Amino acid sequence: MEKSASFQINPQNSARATTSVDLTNHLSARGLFHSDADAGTSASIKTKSNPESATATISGSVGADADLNIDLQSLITSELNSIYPATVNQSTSNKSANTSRFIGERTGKDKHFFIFTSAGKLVFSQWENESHAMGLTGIIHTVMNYFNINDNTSMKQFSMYDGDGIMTRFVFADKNHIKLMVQCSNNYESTAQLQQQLDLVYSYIISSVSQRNLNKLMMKRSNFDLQHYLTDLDQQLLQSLCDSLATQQKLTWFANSLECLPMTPKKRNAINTVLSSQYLDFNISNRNGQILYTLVTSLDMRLISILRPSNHTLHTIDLQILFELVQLQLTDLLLDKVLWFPICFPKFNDNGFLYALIKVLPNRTIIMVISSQKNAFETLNEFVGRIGDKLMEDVNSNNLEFPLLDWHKMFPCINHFVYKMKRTVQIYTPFQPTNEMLQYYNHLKNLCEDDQGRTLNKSSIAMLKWKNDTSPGQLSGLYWTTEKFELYILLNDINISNQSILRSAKRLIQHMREVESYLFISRGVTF
Amino acid sequence: MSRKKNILKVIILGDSGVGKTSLMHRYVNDKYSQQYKATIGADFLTKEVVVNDDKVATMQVWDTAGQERFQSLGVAFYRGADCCVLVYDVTNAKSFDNVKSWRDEFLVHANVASPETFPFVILANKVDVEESKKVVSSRSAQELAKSLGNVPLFFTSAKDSINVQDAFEEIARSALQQSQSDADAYEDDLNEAINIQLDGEPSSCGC
Repeated sequence: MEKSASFQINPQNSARATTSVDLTNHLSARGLFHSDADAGTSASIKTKSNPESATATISGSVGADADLNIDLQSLITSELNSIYPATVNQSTSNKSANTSRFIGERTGKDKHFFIFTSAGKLVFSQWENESHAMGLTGIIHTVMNYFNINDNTSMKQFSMYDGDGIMTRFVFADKNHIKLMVQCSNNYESTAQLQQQLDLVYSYIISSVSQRNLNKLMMKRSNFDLQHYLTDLDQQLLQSLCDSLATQQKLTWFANSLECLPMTPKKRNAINTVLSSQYLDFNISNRNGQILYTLVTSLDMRLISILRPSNHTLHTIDLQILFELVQLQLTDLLLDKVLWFPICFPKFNDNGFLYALIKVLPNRTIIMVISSQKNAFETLNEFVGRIGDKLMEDVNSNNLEFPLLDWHKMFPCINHFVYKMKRTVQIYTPFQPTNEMLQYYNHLKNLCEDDQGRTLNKSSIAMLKWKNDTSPGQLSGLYWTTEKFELYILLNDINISNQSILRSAKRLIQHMREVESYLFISRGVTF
Repeated sequence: MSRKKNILKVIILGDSGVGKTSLMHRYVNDKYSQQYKATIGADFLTKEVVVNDDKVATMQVWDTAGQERFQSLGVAFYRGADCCVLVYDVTNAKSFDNVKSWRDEFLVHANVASPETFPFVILANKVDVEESKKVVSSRSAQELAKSLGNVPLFFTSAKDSINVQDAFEEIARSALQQSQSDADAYEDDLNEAINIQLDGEPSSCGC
């Protein structure tokens, strides 16, 4: 199915643009929360009472079963009215002032993450005022329990509008012992994407604690204070993860994939050969499992090579978490330190830990070796040392990257693009997109997906033109997804016809296929 | 370990109108309002507390609605509490009779590890009223406290600020003790490695 649409939004203000596909608007009504006016550290759960328009803002998931959700909505709306009758709370007359008190104390972010235990004990929030956050946690806990928002119900979010008509969404994830919520007032990210982000945040917690330990701790004592159990580094990482999800999302998160360093196949093969020959040399005297995965990346976390058992692969989220951890400690690594830490890969096996050795090699690449044995440090350290030496010997380490320089000449009208190869879950982009570009890409992608994040068709194309009267900022965009690839394109020209955009896209895909062996790691080295 | 303070979850239970919200406001904000306003669902207050002069913790008070129609909300609140405060009104015999059922209700739903040692505190509120209006004797209160396992009992007045501070200090102390009891259970070696079988089934997706 081909879809195209064209309408106007203001690029400066694109966070607030709505399109006709924003179904959330259709399913939600007005209502609001506010905190109690007389106590800074208190919060209560009530709804604004206004007999004419008093309804709570609830919207279920939107999609094929929209009717069901409308029923759910009206049910909840009437329930809310009986639970919170319109007689309370006459003192709060200024609607917008109250709303802004609830969501206004933000620090320039349009998103806020909350994590708390099933007992309602705060684990993490992005609010600076912790006791305020704890009050909010109580409310969120109540809302989730009252409406029975969990992974088995279709209701995953609700939204509300402030006095200016700005919509804020509250998206939930219930992971049994841990509950998560993100409050989001941008409208370019879909609910499915927000849920994916909650999953990433939760996966990070599991990578530090492991699901089995979490179950053990929380089942024995549901009052367990997990916040206290996490280390400073954990808190720091949660902070940096949530901050970047809120302000500057990474392309790899957006596209659920990894990025590779573009290299000539010859050079990549040379590195692969070093890894496999060292592994073979080494493995003769070693028990299996000591060296499980070996990854080499650039300093900016683009994959160069991967060595893995033929029957085990690594999930993208697991690697994204590992890369986050490494990046946070890059300063130490560059001082020639070796990192050695236990890590649980939640999608690989959330019951236990693997052990990671991380080091920067002499050729300014990062090597990560993952073992299943906790006393394998010495062995792994020696393995890494030998790889480092051999790489310096055998591979010309200068200019590992082979940048694709000619794409601009070949496609002069294309500003930026992202190409994702679905089979390998890897992306290529000539340079990192800005936040604004990501918003455009989000916008395009949302046109082809339902609220659960499923593509409407196996193969879809969306084209959009963004106009702005006041500045020369005029853009066209295309998103094309098939079973094999996803392509995102931004073009600097609004007068270009859909046909020629499509032609350029086809040629670009052709070109990407031709240089595929430079851009992506197809299998890695297996043993 | 993180420098973060312990969070203590304290639940206040009791019949409608016994003064749960007033006690909480007296304690947290040192304020009292004559006007009665039923709690809708729940209120949440937090206060930093210092226990035994050296341990700092954040007390998170979950003030629940006493009215029966909100009971469906209550159940979810009980989980993971560190201390449960049972409040009755000395001028209301029924509210006193119900103390035991509130305790039982809590134990049924809270799913605490060892019900016999879980800390409760009983507050006999509104002791500022004239003697003729009191219908629950101190003796019967003491007997009840004893029968429930020597539960600490305080005669309080949120209105005149009698015994409220003392009571909440005791609440904080027992909550902290509860939250730290069998803390050594976590000293287990939790870093269990995975037993990898390289010949096993292929797992997860490709990369």
